[in-house]
Amino acid sequence: MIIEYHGFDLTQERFDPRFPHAYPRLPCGKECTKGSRHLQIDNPMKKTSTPLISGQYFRNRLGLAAILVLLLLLVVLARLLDLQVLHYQKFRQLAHDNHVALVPVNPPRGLILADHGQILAQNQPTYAVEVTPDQTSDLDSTLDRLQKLLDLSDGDMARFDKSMAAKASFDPIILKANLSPQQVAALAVRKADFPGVRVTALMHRNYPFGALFSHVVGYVGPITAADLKRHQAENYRGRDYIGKTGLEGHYEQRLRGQMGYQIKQINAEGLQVGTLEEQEPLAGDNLMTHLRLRVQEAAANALESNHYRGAVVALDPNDGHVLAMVSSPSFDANWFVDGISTAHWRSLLDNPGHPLTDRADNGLYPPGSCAKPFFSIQAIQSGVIGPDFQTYCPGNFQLGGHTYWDWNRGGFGETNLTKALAWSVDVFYYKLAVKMGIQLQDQTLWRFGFGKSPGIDLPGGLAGLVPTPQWKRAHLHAPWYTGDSVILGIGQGYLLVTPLQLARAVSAIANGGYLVQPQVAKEWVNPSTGERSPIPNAAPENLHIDPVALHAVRQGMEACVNTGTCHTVSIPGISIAGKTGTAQIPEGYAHGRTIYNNDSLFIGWAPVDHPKIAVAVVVENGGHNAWQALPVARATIAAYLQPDRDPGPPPAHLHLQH
Amino acid sequence: MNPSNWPQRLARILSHIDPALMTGILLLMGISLAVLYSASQQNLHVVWAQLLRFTIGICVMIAIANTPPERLRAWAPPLYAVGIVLLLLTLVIGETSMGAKRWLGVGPLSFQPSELVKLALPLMLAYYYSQVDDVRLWRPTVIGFVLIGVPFLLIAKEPDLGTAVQIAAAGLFAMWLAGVRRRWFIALILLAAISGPVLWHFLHGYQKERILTFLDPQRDPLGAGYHIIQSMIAIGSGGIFGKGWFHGTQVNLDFLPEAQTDFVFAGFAEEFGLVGVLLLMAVYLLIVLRGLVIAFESRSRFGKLLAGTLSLTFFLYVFINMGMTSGILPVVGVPLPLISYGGTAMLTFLVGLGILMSIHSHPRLHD
Repeated sequence: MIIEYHGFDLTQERFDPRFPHAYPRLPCGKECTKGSRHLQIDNPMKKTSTPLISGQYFRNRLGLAAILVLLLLLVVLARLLDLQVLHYQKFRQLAHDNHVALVPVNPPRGLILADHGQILAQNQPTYAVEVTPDQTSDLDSTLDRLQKLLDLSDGDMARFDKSMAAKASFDPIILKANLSPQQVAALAVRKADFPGVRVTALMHRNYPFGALFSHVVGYVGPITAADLKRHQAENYRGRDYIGKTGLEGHYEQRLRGQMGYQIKQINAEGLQVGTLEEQEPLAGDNLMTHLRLRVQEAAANALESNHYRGAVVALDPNDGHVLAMVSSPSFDANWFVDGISTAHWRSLLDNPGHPLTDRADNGLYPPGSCAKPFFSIQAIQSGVIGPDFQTYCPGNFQLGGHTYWDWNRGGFGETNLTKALAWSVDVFYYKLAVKMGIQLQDQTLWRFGFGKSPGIDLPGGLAGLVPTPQWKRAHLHAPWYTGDSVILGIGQGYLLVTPLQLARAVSAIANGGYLVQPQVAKEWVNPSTGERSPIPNAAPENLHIDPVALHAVRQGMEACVNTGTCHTVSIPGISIAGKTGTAQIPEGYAHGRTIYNNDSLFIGWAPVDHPKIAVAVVVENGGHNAWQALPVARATIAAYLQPDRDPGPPPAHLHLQH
Repeated sequence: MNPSNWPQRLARILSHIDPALMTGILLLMGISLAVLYSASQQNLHVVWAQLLRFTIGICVMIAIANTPPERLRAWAPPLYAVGIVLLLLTLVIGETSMGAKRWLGVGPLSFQPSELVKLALPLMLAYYYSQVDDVRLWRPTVIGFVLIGVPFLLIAKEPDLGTAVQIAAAGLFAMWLAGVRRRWFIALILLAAISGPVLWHFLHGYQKERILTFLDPQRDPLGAGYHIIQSMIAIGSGGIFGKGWFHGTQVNLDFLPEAQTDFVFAGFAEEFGLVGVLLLMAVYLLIVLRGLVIAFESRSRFGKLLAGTLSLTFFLYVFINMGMTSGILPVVGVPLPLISYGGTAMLTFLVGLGILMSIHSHPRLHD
């Protein structure tokens, strides 16, 4: 007989004396004393009076629990499939991003050098203090203490707040660049008090000559979103600045070099634990230019010492190499490197001299009488006049009831080409203009490179304006009158040129008829190998100028310096040819008359027969019969051809001989 | 007691070891040592310390396995009483750490009385229900709830809601297996659902934070959500085959917090992938199912209840740990049984497994 008791088969039970307690005390447990060894088995039949947990019942409950276990395990498994299979790519990427950091390694930017090796733009190691907000114990207190310790301005702090808003809080942010040695030292001794604050070395662009080359060399400045659109953004990860203007802007790509990178393995604290991959940066090449420090200095001094606003362009007339390019007033390029301060920016904007404008290649002026040599050449070459053409100058020219005055109202009398150029006889050119007509005039101007960008290796390089009847009709809604041609004949009216265009055009007369492409850059120099790669400019374009015409004009321009209006340019021992110009710029009206502001211009070259330098000078607001450009041109030429000799005082102005 | 027959004595002692459970334990031990070696940046010290704990724990386990269940049963009421007293003491003189009193210091040692209660409560409930005639009446049910409720409230007061809930769950398993009527469980579930919003107001700030973080880890990715986000990244980035031993970037570069303790599973899943996880689950399943079989085969009510409760509780820990590291449960401090670094919890688990072995190797008990 099988007795079931609580689902157990009692027939299998045996007594084991080692386990006296193996036997139930229930329901007689009270009687059983501890240590009692006697066997007590209750009559199981007594227990059936109340419902008990049957074996079956327990099995059911256990089975349900086991099913629950399996179900829950399936839930976990489903979740793991979700994470490890379905979203594997996503989490792999997240894990990768967690521990791998691509750290750009900046190459040093190429230097910019003058022709004799003087450094015009360099890199200076400076120290900056960086704050990583996440790593500070208390950002506000850290900043407060840093401000006191380093004596930082509220502006510095405001700038930090601004950069912090744009960056992730685990990225270091520069609080202050250009730390003084005292500031570096002060921070070094209190390093432990400033978790999350680091002093880092930065390469800082520096322009040793300050304002002297600001326009031609340009400057670098903090990268803006607009910059990144123009350049490949991946080349600027981790870079702070980019070439903005001048050579820095034009040659940005090769000056900046090629960015290297380091793929770092970082741990959760952001500390580097290894380097997975590394690519050395390629230093930017050094840029050697044709610029001559002495010429630039002389030209700038001549302008600035007189507080002239104006520009000087000096070219090697044979190949277009830019020897000097000055625009005055200027500004300190170093102001821009870290982002210009509001105060500096205001001072530049409020300056009536517009220091930021590069007058040399972006300043537009009517050339005035400086246009005369070009018209002369064209007139002779086209057969409009012969080289020995003569005309009488009574001091004015009548056309259609209108009187065009010569600058010398007394008149010059009988005038040939040489005299016309030497004394800038306006009446001669009024007549010539009428003979030539606008079509030939425009041809002349285009031939000598006006009206189009001179193709210099700088940003900008304005084209200027060569007026045509079509242009006048389109813009002024008026036909072209002969009177327009008359004043165009003396370089006035609508014609606008840049000093660079003038220098280039006069170079063509100097070198026998070749239009050069002006260029500042000479060659690249690899900073590590020293290997040089020249930067060739375009070969001069042969203008096919008739030698007879050329000779006649050269003679006139030489006479201009020797005996004519630009005699004050002459330097003993140097033969110079040149031409003055006075550009009338309408400034406003007063007393019913137009007030003109006369810009003083000069174009010329030296020496006359084997030209080495061609210059174009503009000084704004010279006044009537402006001569201010002449000493500037003289100083520029002297600095190049007689660098070791004081040119001496300029010769006395020659007076008109009637 | 002839000293010459020690091999036989030893053999008899060892005969109480359950081969299936022991296999599972040794597999887990191997996995634990391998994972900890990697998670500790190959620090052998950690491995030795864990091995030492295993050794001690297994010795204790074998001792328990050799202890007849009826002796364990006799210990149940006093153990339970001691546990309650210690919990009370903890609330009064416990060491406060991170705003909670969970530890009781005894000289240089300190331990969590809640660990003791994890075993004492199932023992007590198995003890109680093994002698109740009719569990379907309301009286044994209420007494069961009281036996659970007292330690639950004491631990919840520490506050350690996570542990309190786990202990209560273990107690409910016991009541379930004992045969308490289903309506009570249904009522309890309904009560929990209804009172949830009310209880919310009584939760501590960090408890609310945990639950909110669980619901949306991204709400505070560098703070409370950091653990769970990094843990999910670790698991997910392991893929099917894992990144390989020592090659888990999350675990080896410290992105994974608590990589040797509560989040050890994430590091394991990262390095060994889904394949490794399946293996690990198989081992746990082996242990739990073996435990349930032991419960099934036991001939005493006490043995049945205790073995079933302990097995289910063991599984509960596995589930909670895997669930919290993979982001389907809120983060509560639950170690992964026998894998996580740490001594107290491991000892509790091994003692529990020792009890299972004891129940199975002393089959003669019946009520």
